[in-house]
Amino acid sequence: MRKVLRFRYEKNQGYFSLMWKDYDRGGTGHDTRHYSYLFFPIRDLTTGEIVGFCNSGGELPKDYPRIMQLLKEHPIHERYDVPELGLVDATVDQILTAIYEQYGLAPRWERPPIQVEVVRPA
Amino acid sequence: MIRIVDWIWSFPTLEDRLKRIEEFLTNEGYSLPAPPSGVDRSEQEEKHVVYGEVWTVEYSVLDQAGRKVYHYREREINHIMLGRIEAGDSWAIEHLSRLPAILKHGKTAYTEIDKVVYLSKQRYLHPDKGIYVPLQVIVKRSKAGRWYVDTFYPVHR
Repeated sequence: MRKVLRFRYEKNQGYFSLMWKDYDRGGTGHDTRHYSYLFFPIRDLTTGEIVGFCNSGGELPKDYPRIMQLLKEHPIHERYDVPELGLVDATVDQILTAIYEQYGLAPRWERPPIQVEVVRPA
Repeated sequence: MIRIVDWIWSFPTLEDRLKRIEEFLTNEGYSLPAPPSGVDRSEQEEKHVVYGEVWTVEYSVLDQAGRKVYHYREREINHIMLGRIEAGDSWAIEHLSRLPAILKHGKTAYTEIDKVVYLSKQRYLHPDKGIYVPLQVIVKRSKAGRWYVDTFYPVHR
C-alpha cells in the first residue's frame, strides 16, 4: 500500500507541505542534500525513512523548473497517494507538477499594497 | 478525527492559536521558550506588509553579515510553530529562542541574493530519540527589501 500524504499549501508564500498521514512517531529532520534548499524530503531522524516533503524557504511558482531539474538529477523512486490533489500512485515529480498546475500558476500577493486616492470633484 | 494542526488553525486570532499550541506542547511534555535576550525590540508591534499580509514585528537582530533580520509574530506562530507540530518536531519549538544566536554565530550553509541559510554549530538533544540534531534557519529578503526569518527546522544528517 502506498503512503498517503496530507497536503497543505500557503498560496501567498508559494509554500507547500506533504506529510505522511499515518506518521505518528515524531522526530523528523529536513534532508538538505541535493535540492539547493528549494525542496526538502522530510526524514525520520532515526530510520531515515522519508515521511514527507516541503519547500521551506522556497516559492513554488518561482522554483518549480529548478526543482524538477534537480529531481531528474536526484530522483525519488517511491510513489504516493495524495487525496487532496486527486493523485493515486504518483511520483514526486507528478505530485509537484499537480501542485504547480493547481496552485502555483495563480498570481500571488507579494506586491506593495495599492493606495487609492479619492479625488473629490471641485 | 480532526488533526491537531487543523484544530489550532480553526482559532481566528494569534493569541488563541498560541494558547492552544502551549496546551498542546504541555501535553507533549514541552514548553514555549522564554523570549530571547540580546535582540532589538525597539520596533516591536510595528506592522510590515510581507506577501500581501500584515505581519507584526517581534524583534530584529543583526546577523553575522550585518543584515537587520526581522522576526515576525505571525511567521513564528502560523508557519514555524505549526509547521514543526505538523512534522512531528514539537521538541524543536523549545529551541526557538536560539534563533538570534544561530543568525549571529551559526555556519552559513547556503547563500543567494535574497536568501541565506544558517546552520547551528551546536546540536540539540532530541528528548525522545536521544540523538543530537542541528537546527537550520532560513532568512529571506522581502520585496520591500527587509530581511526576515522565514523558517526554522531540525536537519536530518
